[in-house]
Parts: sequence; structure tokens; C-alpha cells
Amino acid sequence: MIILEKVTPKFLETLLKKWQKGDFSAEDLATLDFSPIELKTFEQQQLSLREMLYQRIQKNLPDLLSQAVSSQNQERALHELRKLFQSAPSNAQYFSLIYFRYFALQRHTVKELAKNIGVSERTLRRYLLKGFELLSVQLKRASEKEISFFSKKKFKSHFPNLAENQAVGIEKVLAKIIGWVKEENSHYAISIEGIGGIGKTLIAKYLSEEVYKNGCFDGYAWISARQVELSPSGEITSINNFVNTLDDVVARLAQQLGQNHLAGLSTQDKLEGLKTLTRDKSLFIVIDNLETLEDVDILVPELLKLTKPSKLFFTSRKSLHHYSDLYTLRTPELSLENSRALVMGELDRCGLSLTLSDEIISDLYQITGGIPLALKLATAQFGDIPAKEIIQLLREGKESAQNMYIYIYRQAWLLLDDIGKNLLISMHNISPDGEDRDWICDLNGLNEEEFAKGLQQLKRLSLVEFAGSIERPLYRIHRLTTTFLESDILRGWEDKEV
Amino acid sequence: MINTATSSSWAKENAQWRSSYADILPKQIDRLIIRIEKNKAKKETLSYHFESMLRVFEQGLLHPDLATHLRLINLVRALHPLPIWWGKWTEWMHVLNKTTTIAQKANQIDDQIWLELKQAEMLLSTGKGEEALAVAQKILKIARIHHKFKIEFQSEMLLFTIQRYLGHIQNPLNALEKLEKSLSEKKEHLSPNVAQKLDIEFSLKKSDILQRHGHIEKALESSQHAYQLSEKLFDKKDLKMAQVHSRLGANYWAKSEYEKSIAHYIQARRIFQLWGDQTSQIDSMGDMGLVYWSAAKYKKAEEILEKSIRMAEEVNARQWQTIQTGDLGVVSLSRGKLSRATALIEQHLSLSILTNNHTETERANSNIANVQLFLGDFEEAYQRLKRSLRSVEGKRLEIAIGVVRAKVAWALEGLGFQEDAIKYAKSALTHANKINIPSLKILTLRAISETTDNTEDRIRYAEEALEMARKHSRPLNEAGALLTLAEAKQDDALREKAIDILENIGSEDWLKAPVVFRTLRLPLLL
Repeated sequence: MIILEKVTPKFLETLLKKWQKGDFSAEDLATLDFSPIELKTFEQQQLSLREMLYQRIQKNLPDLLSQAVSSQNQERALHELRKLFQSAPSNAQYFSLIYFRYFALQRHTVKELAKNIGVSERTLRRYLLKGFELLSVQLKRASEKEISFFSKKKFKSHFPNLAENQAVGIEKVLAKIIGWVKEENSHYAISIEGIGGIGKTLIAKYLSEEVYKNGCFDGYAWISARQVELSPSGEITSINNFVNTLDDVVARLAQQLGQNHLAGLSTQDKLEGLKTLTRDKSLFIVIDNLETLEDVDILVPELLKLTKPSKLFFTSRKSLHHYSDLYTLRTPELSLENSRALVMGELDRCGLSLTLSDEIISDLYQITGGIPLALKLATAQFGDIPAKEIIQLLREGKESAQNMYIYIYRQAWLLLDDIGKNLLISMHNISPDGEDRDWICDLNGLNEEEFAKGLQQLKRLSLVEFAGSIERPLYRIHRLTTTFLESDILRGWEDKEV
Repeated sequence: MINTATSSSWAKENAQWRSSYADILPKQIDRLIIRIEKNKAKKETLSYHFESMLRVFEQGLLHPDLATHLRLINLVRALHPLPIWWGKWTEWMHVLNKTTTIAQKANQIDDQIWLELKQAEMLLSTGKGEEALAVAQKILKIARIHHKFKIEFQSEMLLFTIQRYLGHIQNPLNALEKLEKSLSEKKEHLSPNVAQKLDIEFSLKKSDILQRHGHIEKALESSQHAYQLSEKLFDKKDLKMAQVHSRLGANYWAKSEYEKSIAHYIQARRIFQLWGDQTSQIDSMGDMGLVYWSAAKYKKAEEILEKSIRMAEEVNARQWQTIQTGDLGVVSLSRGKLSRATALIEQHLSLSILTNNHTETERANSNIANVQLFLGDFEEAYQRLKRSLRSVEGKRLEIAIGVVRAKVAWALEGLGFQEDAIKYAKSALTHANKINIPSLKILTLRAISETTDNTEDRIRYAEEALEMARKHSRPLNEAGALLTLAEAKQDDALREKAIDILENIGSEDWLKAPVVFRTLRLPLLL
């Protein structure tokens, strides 16, 4: 990818002149922002840029001249050049002059070339300038095509917005998958599976960021079926505005991959178009939260056709092990060590400088089963209740309560004051994607101070999640927190007796 | 501090929060309404929050107080039609449905009718004509019982649109007259302001129908009447003005005044954009695409139609997606891209069936026949065209009648029935002369010229078509006439001229298309 506006005829001329003198600086590469990501060293990048320009020039040479050049017979080559200038004016003439002046093994001066084709030196310089103009236009066009096809910014914008530094204990899984990604003939379709809250989307997100950073693929797409809502009974039900059918998935894939010409065609035709694309280009495609889609068994076989060399990743609660072309990977619970790292990280985040014994960590790990969300919620309460007491109560809670989460949430609820409780309830009626402060305050009649105070408490107890950007932070609550509010705090609010 | 509460004691302890939640919910709805009213013209300020609005609505439905339910009606009235513009058809339909039940239970007749009217409009837009018809009939009945004259006329107009959509109206011009009479009878019961607003609605509808039936000048007059009234009643940036501009754009398109047409569509699109009305934007973009197509700017037409189809796919605006997929198919056909045109037209047909849009199904059939003609499948093309002819003659779609007759002539000529072919071509020309549409006349002249064996006639008709095509700036038809003339006169220079035109308008693929006619023909497209 290069910066288009920098590719002026003048810049190209100066660049080639400098190369002729062996003067090649990193500045030139920086000016062009030429950074083929798979090449690391300066020399490799220099060679790559030179190769690109050389190929562009060569493509424009007529066949006979091209053959003469390949034969390395200088006389024959110059003869062909002369012949070329005897025919009608063409772009090939200008490109040929650039070749002889800057790229041929034996370089030729302006004077020599002018003499060879029978024009004045001034005319020859004019021809060369014309050649640079054409070269600049061609490079811009080629680059524009690339950009419109695989725009960096565009792809990035499809990745989900997750808070940074959440990745604890996913390194091994990530490294394993990245290994497969980089290996050419390895798994082309992988399903990352596991229970809710275990971190499947997180793994897929980090994977996408990593392969994107390393430029492993020509293009990236991320289709999210994450949007779900809870029914009053606490069951998760999908709503219709996100992708839920093969038609939607295919239409969005075509759109994200810049396949504008497929607009308006049937899903089958779009799939055909995508098949060609995914065969010709190496693409990285993620379908997140597959289990919320309507007809997985129609969708998956069709999408599996979009692999090789492209690669496809699903995240799913339900296993897809019955597809032979698909490799399934179960997301493991956190190990004891990683649980410790997460707990310590959480303590640090909460500003609690507590020392935890191995015994406590081990007990906590055993009770929560290494589920990250449970660990986070329990750790957040350590500042208020002695750890041993929490462990003890969790153990009792686990036995007596239907769900360990309810027990943890009840504890957290009791640790909130009225402002905190009020804010948490206010956040019950917001989008699963989160809302901004202005919205939450406005709709609930909260002032900024109340919001800040309440937020501080929710943050301390890990009851609020952050999304959005620095400019516009969004606040949301976890699906399980919503369930707790509905089943434990607000249950029965709609009854007349209230 | 430590929670050892049983479920019942826990519930008791938290009773105050349940009560507080029940208290705050009506306030949330009120604050939401104020926020919507304040920010209605700023799409970005509201669209992101739709999911949160839905949650408030759903919770409001559970509230035990009737007063809270009535607040929800106000909320829906305040928010409509923004969710449709954001493409939230399914969710909004669900909301309208639930709110109608509230209005019905609370005996809020005005609200109930309004909600059902909006539902009927949405059902029609999503291609559910039969369901829309049932709702519209119900509204009309209620409006008549309760002497709601405004809503009665609105539902009559809607019924007319739905019935036309479903192909139930045999003579739309007569039906239009009845509507006009109904409006003038109701005017005495309405305030001047309301009467004028209804007049604008009707004039726009009238302009559309008149144009479809070939009364181009009268259609323009009707739109201009709507424009004059709207200027008095609405701000320049009001959505109604955008609708009027769209109609004027269509009128000028029919008159082949493309620059004026585009100017009006641009005005319309700007207003729709300002309000964030995506579906209307899609509509006007599609129309602009057609204007560019008519002006033989095919690449531009293709670009704009692809963009509008993508937008339609994104917001699930199936009706527009259907129509514009058909339009894109025609643009591809004009460019000689037969396989792409076939794929698009077949998709147009499937979508038209899916959305139950009979007019578009007929158009798709006729366009499939168009492709079949070039691929030599004359029998199949003939059958389709006959069906299409029956349909357009039945609906008295005058322009379409001329076009389909000309195509039938080509199909018959391909099948070897030369005499019949000429008969159809001549009847197409007579029809074109009768309704006086220059582009149709050019097309029918080309059809006769291509089907006749008599060289003199062939040259005469082709020259006439060529002259008219040049006069009315129809490059594809000009190239078509030149090719016919080149063949008849054995003149390579004429052929070269035709090739130049085809290259200029991006239709050079016709020169490579695997067509089966004995001479190189170009499609008969208006």
C-alpha cells in the first residue's frame, strides 16, 4: 500500500535518478509509506519497491522489445527500440525509454538514447517526463484498486470493540491458532467453542488483530451475530436486526469485502462471486457467535466453500464437530496460574494492595472452575469482605444456591449504596452494546455527580463493562448481570401490588 | 453485610427497588419523548440509541398502569418513521403492532387508526400487499363509522395504491377520478390547511399515475400544482418538499429533460439525507440511476444503482431492492453484458415474486424475454412477451404496450413469421404515434426497420429512427439505427460511427455479444 498523492511524476523521476547513483534512503520509503508488511528489513523493502516499479515498466514493453531485452543482447535491444520509435506514437515508447535509462543492465545516457531513436535530447527528456506521468497514473490506479478492495481502515472497523488488556490465559490457544493460520496447508476452517463468558470472542478478536498486524491475509471480514437480548424470564433470545440467515451473512460478507458488483444478485450468485474471490485472494473471515444464527446447518456448509487459501473462523457455544472439513477447538477454562494472574490483575485494577495466599487462590480457582467472569466478580469483593469469608460463603452458596453467579451478585448488590444500586438499575434498560453517560443521566434523571459516584462503585465491583472510544465511552452491563437484576431484584415489579 | 437471605426475605428486602423501578419507567418514557422531539432532525443523535429505546418500550409494555401504556403511544408517534429510515422494519412493525393493541384496548380511536395506517404502509413497502389490503380496508371502515374525513381519504388513497400494486385495478385513470371526487367532497369537512395537504398527496399520486399512462404533460402539471402548494405550507427542507422534488424529477425524466430531472433528484436526496431517511434516499438514488441510464451514461447509472441496492440490502428495503435490481439488469443489458444482465433480471424476478409485486414480475418477465431474443430462444421469448402484453394491455400501461409489441415483432421475426412480425411492429408504431412519446416512436421505427425485408422500407424507417434518436439524444437507439442502416446500405462508415457511439457510452460489449440475429441488433429499450 502506498500513499497515492506522493506518487507524482517528479517524485518517481527523482527516486530513479537517486537509485542510479546508488543513493537510496529510508526516507523515500517513508515518503511513499511503502511497507509490504511481510518484509522486514530495509534492503528487502528497497528491493521490493524496485521490483514493483520494474515489473510495471516491463508490463508496458512490447513483446519484441521485451524478448530482445531478455536476450541481454544490447545491440538487438537498441535495434528494437529504434524500430519501436519508427511506428505510430504509443505509451510503450515512453516506458521503453524509462527502462533503458534507469532499469537496463547497461544504463544509457540521454544523449545515447536520443541518438538511437533520432530525436533531440530535449525531446527525449520530454518523452521521459511523459513516461513518468504514465507510470505515476498506472501506479495510482493499481493502488486505488487495492485500497478500494481492501481498505485498511474499513477492515479494522469491522472488528468488535473490546476493552484492552483483557487477555489473560489465552496466549497458548492464540499461539496455536496463529500457527495454523500461518501454515499454508493447515486447517482452513476452525471453530472456537466453549460456554458463555469463557472468552471465545476475545480469542477471535486478538487473533484478528494479530494476523492483521502481520499482514498475513489480503483481506479481513468480521460478521457478528452477537446482538442478543434477554427475555423477561432471563432467556437469551435473538433479535432480528443482526445477521441471522445465510442471505444476511453472504450480503454482509460481500459488502465488507468490497464486492460491490455482487450487489443485487441472488445469494447463490453472491456465493459464487465470493468463492472466486476467496480462491484468488487469501482472506480471513470470522463469523462470531454462530449459535445465535437461525439455520447453522444451511450456513456452515455454504461458508466452508469459501476456504482455501482463505481461512474461516467461527465462534460458537454449540459444537460443530460433525463437519469433517472443520477443526473444532474447545476454549479451555483458565489454569490455576492464569486464574492467579487474572485475580492479581483485578486486585491491581481495583487499587487493592492485598497479598493472597496460594491456598486462597487455589480455593477460589476450584470453586469458580476457572471461569473468568466468576473470578473477576469474586475478586472485586475482596476489598470489602475478607477473602477467606468470601471463599467460605461461595462454597456454601455454590451448594445452596441454584447458581453460583446469583450468590456472587447478591454479595455485590449488598456492597453497593443507594446511588450505586440506582445506577445499576438504570442500566437495565440500555442496549447490550452500551450507552453513553449523557443518555443514561438524561433518561434516569441523574446528575453528573451521582453518575460518577455510582460508576465508581460499579467499576470497583466489576459490574460495569466499558466499550466505545476515549472520546465517547460507552457503559454496559454483562448479560448475567441483567439476568440477576431481572430475576433477583426487580422480579415482580410489574405486579399491581407493587 | 453477608448475604444469607432466603429467596422470600431477599425479595422483601428489595421491594423498594421494584417500586422505584415502576415509578421511574413512565418518567423514562417522558424523557425519551422529549429527547426524540429535540433531536429528530439529527439522525446520528438518535439512531445509535434505538436498541435502548426498544428496551424502554418493552419494559413499558409490562408496566401495570394504563397511563404508562398511553405514554408508549406518544413515544411511538414521536419516533415514527425514524426506525424505518434506519432499516429497523421488523422491530418497528412489532412495536406498531403492540401499540395498536394498547390503543384498541384504551379505545383511542385516532391513535388506533393512525397506527394501523402506518402498519399498512409498512406492509406494502415490505411487499405484503394482501396483508396491507386487509388493514387498509379495516381502517377505512373505522374512519367512515367515526367520520374521520382526513383519515378516510388517506386510507382511500392507500387502498388505491395497494390495489394497483396487487393488480386489482383495471382502469387506474377512472379510479383516480373517483379519488379526486372523493377529495373534493371531503374538503368542506376539513380545515383549509388539512385539505391542502391532502391535495398535495393526491396531486403527487395523480402525477405518478398519469405519467405511467403516457400523459406526460398533465403529470408534470399535477406535480407543479403540488409544488406550489407545498412551497406555501412547508419549509424548503421539509420532507414533503423532497417528495415533490422526487416527483418532478420523474416528470422531467419522462420528458427526456435529464439535467432538470437530476437537479430535482439531487434536491430530494439532500433533504432525505438531512433527515436521515435512508429508504427514500434509496428510492431517489434508484430513480437517478434510471435517469443516467436514459441519458446513456451507463457506467454512472451502474455505479449509482449498485450503491442504492447495497443500501437497500442493508436496511432490508425489499421493494426498492427489487425495482432497482431490475433497473440494474436493464443497464447491464444496455451495455451488452448479457450474462450479468441475465443473473440480475432473474434475481429481479425472484425478488418480485418474494415481495408479491406483480408489476415488477411482469417487467422482469419482459426483460428476460429481451435477453432470450438475443440468445435465439425466440419461442420462450414470444410466450413471455405475449403474457407481458396481455398484462400491460389489461392495465392500459400505454408506454409498455408499445415497447412489448415491438419486442413481440422481433420474436415473431426470429420464429420466421415475417408478416405477423411486421404487423406487430406497425401496430407498435401506430400506438407510439397515438400517445406521442418520442423515445417509443424511435424504438418502434427501429423494430419495423429490423423486421422488414424490403430494403427501401428498411432504410426509410431506420433513417427516420436515426433522425429522431439524434434529435432526442438517444445514443443507443442512434447506434441501433446506424447499424441497421449500415447493413441495409452495405456502408462500413456507418457501422464505424455506430461503434464509436457504443464505445462512448460504454456499450461496446454488444459488438462481442453472442447474439443470433442475422444483423447486429441492439436492444429495444426506452
